[in-house]
Amino acid sequence: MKATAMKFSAELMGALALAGGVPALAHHSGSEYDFRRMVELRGVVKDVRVINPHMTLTLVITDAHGTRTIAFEGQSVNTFYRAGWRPHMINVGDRISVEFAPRKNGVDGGFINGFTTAGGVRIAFQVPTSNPVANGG
Amino acid sequence: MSWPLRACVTMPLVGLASVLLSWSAMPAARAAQTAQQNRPDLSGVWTAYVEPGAPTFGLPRVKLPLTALGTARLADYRSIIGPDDSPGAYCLGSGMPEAMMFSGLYPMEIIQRPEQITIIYEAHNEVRRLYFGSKVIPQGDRIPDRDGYSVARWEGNTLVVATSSLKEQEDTAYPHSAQARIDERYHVFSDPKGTRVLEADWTLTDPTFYTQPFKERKRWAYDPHGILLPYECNEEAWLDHLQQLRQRHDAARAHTAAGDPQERAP
Repeated sequence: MKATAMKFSAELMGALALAGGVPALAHHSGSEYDFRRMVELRGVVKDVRVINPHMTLTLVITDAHGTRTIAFEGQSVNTFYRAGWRPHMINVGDRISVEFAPRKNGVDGGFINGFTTAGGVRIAFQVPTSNPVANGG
Repeated sequence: MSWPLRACVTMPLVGLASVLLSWSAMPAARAAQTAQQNRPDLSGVWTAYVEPGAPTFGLPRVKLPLTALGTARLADYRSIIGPDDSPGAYCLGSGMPEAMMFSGLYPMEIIQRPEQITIIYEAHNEVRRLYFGSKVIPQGDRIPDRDGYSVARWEGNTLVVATSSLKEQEDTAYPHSAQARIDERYHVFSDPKGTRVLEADWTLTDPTFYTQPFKERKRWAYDPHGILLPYECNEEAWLDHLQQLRQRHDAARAHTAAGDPQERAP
């Protein structure tokens, strides 16, 4: 059965990017996203599913081009949990900001690596730079 | 000799033999018990070991020495998939050896018993069972699997694992045929910072797909506070299906409630 949410495991790709560059070929392709860049955007949550293999988020944003909805995908629930996310931290109607790797083709949306909740809590996936045990797990 | 008399003579002899047998077996049993007690306990949660200056993840560090057949099978697979197609999108585990090598930053948990070691990779809830001694079933009775069937033994403090009964896989960083065999050797050491490190040196041997065996290494750091989280992955697909069923059901009921025009006609 196909997972409806996501088509690939971009957690790996995001981690690779942050750890020092996405390889030319990986068993999971995140080729549509530019993991070398992170963009921040603010909007109101229309729909959110923090699930595996990857989260989905629909945000209503208003900018110079008007008001529109943008669909994102992002890290897995397990990854965000370890980064500090807990159930009900993000709810429909919340005004939040997201950090994401934009699409290479310039179309709206991207791959969410982190977000700041309506309550001001910032949750972001980070690749440990040294021993994770030494860092407190 | 009558039965009571025969019993009087033989019973003590049987008893004596049992005692002698148990005496002779004791040193061996004691040695086995001591060896068991001295073996490293790998139980617990292990997470990605990040070495200074080295990326957390990496593709195979060796150039895969594929045979012509292996190259052709891989090319055929790649010719039909798109950039977003992968087993993970279908909540399918990676299979060995990729499960061991590229489970992202997700940790793994090891549960160690004398007759079986169970490894749970959090990603996709992929589970491997490494069997020892009498738990091992004959080759012909094993069901081929993406993670294969693993037979384990101890060589001193080194855990030695031989995995076969694999399925042919091209959808992996380490494509292989069903004839592939993976030999892993695990040992524990402390790094200069005092972190407990689990290291696996492994060799993939597959004359069908590879011109020669190749070797890789993987390390994990022990995480005394680590836990494994659930990795439910296909619930959304089921819920979507359920929603479709609900819509169909509601539409059918609405149709019935409105009445069939043909049935209403006089």
